[in-house]
Amino acid sequence: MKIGKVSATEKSPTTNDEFIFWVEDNVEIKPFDIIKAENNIGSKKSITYAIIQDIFYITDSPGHIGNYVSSDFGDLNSTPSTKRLGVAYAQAIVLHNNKDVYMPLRDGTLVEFAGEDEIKEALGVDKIKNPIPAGFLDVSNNITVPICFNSDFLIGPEGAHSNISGISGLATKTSYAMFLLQAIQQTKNDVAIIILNVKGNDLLRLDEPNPLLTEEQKNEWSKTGLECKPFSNVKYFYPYKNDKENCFCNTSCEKDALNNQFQSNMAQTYAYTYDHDKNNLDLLFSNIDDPNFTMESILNVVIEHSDFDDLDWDSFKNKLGEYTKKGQGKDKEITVQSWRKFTRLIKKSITNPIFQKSLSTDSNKRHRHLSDEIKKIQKGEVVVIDIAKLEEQIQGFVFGDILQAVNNLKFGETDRPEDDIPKKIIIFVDELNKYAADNAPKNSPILRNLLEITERGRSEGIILFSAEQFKSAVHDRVKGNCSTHVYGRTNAIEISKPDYRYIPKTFTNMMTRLDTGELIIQHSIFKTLLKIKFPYPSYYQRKGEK
Amino acid sequence: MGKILEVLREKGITYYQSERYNLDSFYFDNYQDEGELFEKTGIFEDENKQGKIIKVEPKTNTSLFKYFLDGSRRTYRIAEAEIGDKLVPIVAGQIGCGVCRRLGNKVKTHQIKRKNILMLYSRLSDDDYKDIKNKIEQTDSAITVDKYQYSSNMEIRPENKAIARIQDIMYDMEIDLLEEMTKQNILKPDEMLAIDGSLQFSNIRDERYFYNVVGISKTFNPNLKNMLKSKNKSIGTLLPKLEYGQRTPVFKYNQTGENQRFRQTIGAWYLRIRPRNQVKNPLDGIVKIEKIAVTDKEKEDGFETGLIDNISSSILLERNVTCYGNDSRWASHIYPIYLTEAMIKNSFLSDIYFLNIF
Repeated sequence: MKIGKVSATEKSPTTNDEFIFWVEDNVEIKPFDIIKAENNIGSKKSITYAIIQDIFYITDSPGHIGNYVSSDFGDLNSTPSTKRLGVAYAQAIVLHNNKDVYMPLRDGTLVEFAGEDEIKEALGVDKIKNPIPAGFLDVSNNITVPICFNSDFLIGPEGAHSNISGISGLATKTSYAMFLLQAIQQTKNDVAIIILNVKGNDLLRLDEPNPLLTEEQKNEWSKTGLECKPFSNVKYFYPYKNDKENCFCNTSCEKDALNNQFQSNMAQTYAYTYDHDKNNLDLLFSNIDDPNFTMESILNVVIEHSDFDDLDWDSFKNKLGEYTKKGQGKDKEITVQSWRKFTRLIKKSITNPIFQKSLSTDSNKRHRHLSDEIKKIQKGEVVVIDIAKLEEQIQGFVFGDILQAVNNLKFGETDRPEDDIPKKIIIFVDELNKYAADNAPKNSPILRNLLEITERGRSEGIILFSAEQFKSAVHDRVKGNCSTHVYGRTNAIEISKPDYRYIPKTFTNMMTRLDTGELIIQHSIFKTLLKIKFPYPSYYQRKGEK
Repeated sequence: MGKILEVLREKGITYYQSERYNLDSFYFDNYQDEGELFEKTGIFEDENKQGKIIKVEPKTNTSLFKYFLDGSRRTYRIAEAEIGDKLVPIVAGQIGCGVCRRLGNKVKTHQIKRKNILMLYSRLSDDDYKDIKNKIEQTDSAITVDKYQYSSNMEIRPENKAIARIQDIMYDMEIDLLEEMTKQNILKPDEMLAIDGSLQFSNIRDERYFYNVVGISKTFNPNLKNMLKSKNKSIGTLLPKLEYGQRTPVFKYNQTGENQRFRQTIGAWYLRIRPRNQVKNPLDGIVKIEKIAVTDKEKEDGFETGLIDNISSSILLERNVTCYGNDSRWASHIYPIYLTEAMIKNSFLSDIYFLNIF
């Protein structure tokens, strides 16, 4: 469909990177529409594809005063006999030429909407190897183009790790992450997924279908090439609490659903014992500044000194009490004050019911060591770990434990044969800024693990999918190593931060106006950022949820 | 020097390279109504014989005008040549005439005519002139050759004579456009044509072309006499007193005696289209409107006052939007005519390109 003509002027020439075209009066265009124009140089005929970046409307009035005068000096009821000369014009960025011609487009060249196949060619998504559906593109001329990531660049080995950012409640970060993980589960059979539920009960019924989906919403799944179905092979792990009414879980998952999960053997509880998990106590100090390494020194003592062998959590607390007595002189390098600080911090956490003397044999309680279960993860499995109702320090502890377990599994520290272990393990965590904040203590073990994963994980098959409200709050090396970035709705303060410096202004401005379900994605093999939509969640949603 | 001027050298005419430049900024046009003389016989409309100032009230929101005609030209000094014992300029010009029509409230091009012209001093022999003309017009079919009259005892400069001739050619083209439209029955009483400027063409072949046509002038000579009761008083003493929406009675141009310039009977009146407090100068916002009397009744009795009022109210409706900020004549400039002018000017070649054709 013809929509306009290229316009080159003295002050505004066309270039090999961008051009302006005026738009015919009755045509509607949008930013991110893909257009094409012939680029004929001599006998070489080619097509240049471009993406619309900005749209303007210009008139021949030299100023606002002129417009005011033209309305009878400010008469709102004035109706002119002749409409002022005006034209809409758009700035477009060149994406691709099908014969590698870099010459600028000539003035007067006809501009048209690109068709579906042409859009795919222009975006470089026509020949995607190992495609994983990413959503779909809706363009002005009623064309919907499914978009796919290249899995080599999404989950390795060429590139890996994804980060999703945007305002809570508006940016649909979790919904998109689940869509992506569902796409991976449907297209790959050698991938395992670990999901942390950090808020409410959002992700605690992933195996159940969404009863609120309309036919139209179900059809959107087919646009992406995926089946509209919930996750399969799901296992749930809940923090233990001595609450029989609630299946001994410290969770906000609905009782009925919880009961079903336990009855179907899909759910377990997890707990930490001193002898199994004492070596992970450093994870409780991930967010504690320790410039003089006193906490680290104490932890070393705890791990290595025989005083701290063969205890349980209660006797551990008592042992610590001995070290906090004035004049105890047990370790001349660590002061009593430091021990007291350590004790205070530890006690705050280990009073939580997940810290147990030992795992109960009561089958109703279904106690498990989380790290041991992680190390048994199978291909195609989805493991959901609920940490929503744990306090922040313990959330970090559990997350760190999971990371270490995955590392140990993938780095060959278990007895499992190599081909039994999932080729890739994807870990999804929300609120990444809690664990990898830009001002996190340098010696934070969780940060260390995350850096290990983001910097070296792709070759080992450990992939991080993360989400947070504000990308600017996340550690540079963690977000910098992501090959896929997804942006949901955000605010003007956020887009003024340096993270967004190299994103064209049209896209950053668009980020402040995105609707729910609209995202801007940046992926290594795409030639440009894309604004996409994705289907409604296929897993259980409660009424009132978007 | 280009191929075109080489034709002159081949004919043995000596010419000299001179600085080439656009002449338009050097010479001011005279008023189109310069030297105009009105009849002393009184008012030229049927119901306002007392010659009162009339307040025009638009009765509808629809203007009678649908077509707008304008002509534009750019002139250039190209070289100097020795012709007929004189050193005279060779002047070139780009001429454009166009009509825009309004559909709904948007203006579109209806028709445009263009000419690129080379003016030579008329003292060349007829054979030489014919030869040069043929050769140049064959070399570049987009160039037309014409000649201008000049005598050294004239007070006027030869460039001005060449420009005046170019201007005449432009008027001829305007008439041609109008003739075509008339033959196609395009113009109607409620789809009239407004011409930018005076209707005082010297070469009107048939006044019936002008039945549904008026001329609207932005500038005019304020010192014309014979229009007011006191015959020696200039019209310019009355016009500043016009209020917004007021018009003068219709006056008739002199057709008799040695001052007769046109064969047509023309009536003219003035209308204020901008309130006085919205313009800088006393005559800003006043337009002079001309209409040619076509029927015998009109020629005898003058125009119907009702028709004049309708035309005036339509012109009032045309006052918005304005070209304020783009044209210093904005207060008296009708926007569709401004657009027609812009359409024609955009069809011209750039000065640099045009100057180097020759």
